[in-house]
Amino acid sequence: MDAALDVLVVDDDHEQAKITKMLIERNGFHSKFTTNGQEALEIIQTKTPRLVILDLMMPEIDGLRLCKIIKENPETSEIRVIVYSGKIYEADRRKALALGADLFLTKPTRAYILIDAVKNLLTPVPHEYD
Amino acid sequence: MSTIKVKFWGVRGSIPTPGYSTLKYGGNTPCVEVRFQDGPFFILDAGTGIRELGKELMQLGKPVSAYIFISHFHWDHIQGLPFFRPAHNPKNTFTIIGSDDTTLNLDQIISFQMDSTYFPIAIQDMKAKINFRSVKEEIFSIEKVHIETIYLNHPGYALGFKMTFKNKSIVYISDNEPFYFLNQPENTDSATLPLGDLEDIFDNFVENKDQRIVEFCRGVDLLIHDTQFFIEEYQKRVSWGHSPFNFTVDLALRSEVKQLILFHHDPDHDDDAVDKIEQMSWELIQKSGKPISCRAAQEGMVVEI
Repeated sequence: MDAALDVLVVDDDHEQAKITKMLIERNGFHSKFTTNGQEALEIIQTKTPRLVILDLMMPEIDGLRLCKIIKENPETSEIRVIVYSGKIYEADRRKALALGADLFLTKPTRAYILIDAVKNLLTPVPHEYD
Repeated sequence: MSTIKVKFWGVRGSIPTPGYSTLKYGGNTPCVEVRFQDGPFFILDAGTGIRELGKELMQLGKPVSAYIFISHFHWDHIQGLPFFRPAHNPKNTFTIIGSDDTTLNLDQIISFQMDSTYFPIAIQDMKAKINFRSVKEEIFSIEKVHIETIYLNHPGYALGFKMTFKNKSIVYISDNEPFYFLNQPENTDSATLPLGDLEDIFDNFVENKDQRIVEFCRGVDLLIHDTQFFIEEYQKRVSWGHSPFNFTVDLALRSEVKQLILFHHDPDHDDDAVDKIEQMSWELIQKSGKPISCRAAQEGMVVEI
C-alpha cells in the first residue's frame, strides 16, 4: 500500500516540479509531482495529500481554478495550499488568498523558505488547552 | 489574394490617445483584422479600433460572420465592442473567443461591461447572433485555420494566439512582459542532479516560461508583439505586464520569425517616440545579421503574407 501522501507538487515545468518534489522528499515528506492540472485533480481526489504546491499558469486546469476546487469541496478543503508562482502581481496574490490558499510564494524563492513553509503548514498547532 | 491579410485598426496600449502628436501611428486601442484566403474572418481584440472596422463592414453592406478573439479583458481590449455597429445587425454572426476568469464565465465578463450602469444597450439586446467560446491554453481549429493559445505574463490572465493556415502562420501577443528577462536560467538536466546539492540547485533554478513563448513563436511568418517601453522605462515599470522593445526583438531573433510588428504603443509615446523604438529595434536586428523585417504597427497598415 502507498504511504500517505504529504505533498503534491503541481507545476507544468517538469524540471521545476521534479526538483521541488525531490527537495521536499529529502526533508522527510512523502511527495509526488505532476505537470498537469487535470491529473493533479485526480490525485487530490484519490490520495488526499496533506498539502498541495500549486503553480498558477498551467494547461487544462490553471492553479487558481484548482485552488478553488480544493477549497470548495468539503472533502478536500482541509488540504493546505501553497501557491508558488512566477506571477508577481498583487492582484494574483490577493485572488489566490481569497480563494483559500494558505500561502502565496513568488518564484523563484530559496529552498529553506519553501521547506519552512511546508513544515509550518504540516505541523499541527497544539490546542491551547491540551 | 495573399494567403493571410492583416489590417491594423488599433495599435495603442492602455487608453485611446487621440491628438496631434499621435497622428502617424494612431490613438485607437488594439483591434486587428485577419482575413484568410477563402477562409474565415478573424478580429483580434475589440479595443476602440473595432469601431472603425465596424463602419467599413457596414459600408460593404454584406452579412458578416466573424470570430472575435479577446486576449484578455482589460478595458483597452474590449472598450470598442459596444460601439461595433455590425453587432447590432440581425444578419450578422459573431463568435467571441476568450478565457473564463476564475469566478466568471466569458459571456458574463463581456455582458458585465454592457451592464446598464455603464452602457445603455445590453449585450442580449444586440441584434446579431452572438456566440461565446471559452478557451484556455489549448489547440483547436476553425474552418481549416489551426489555432494555438498560450498564457502570457500580464496581470490577471492574457492569452497569445497563433494562427496557421496553408503553411503560413501569425502570432498575436498584444500584452506580455518578460518572465525572467534579467535572470536567464542555465540549462538544468534532471538526470544528472546530484542530490547533495539539491538546495543549491533549487535556489538557482529559474523556470523558463519565456522559452515556451520562444517555441510558440518559432519560425512564424508574422509576429505581432507588445513593445510598449524603452529599456529605461521598463526598469521603472517592471510588473506592469508589458515589454521593453529589446526583449521583443530578442524574442523575434530567438524564434527566427520572418517579420516582426511592434505593437501596443505606450499612451505617453508620441509619433517621434514610436519612430525611435522602431529605429532602435531595427538596429538590433541589423546587428544580429538575421533577415527579419520590422515595423511599428500603424492604424490602417496592411500586411499580407
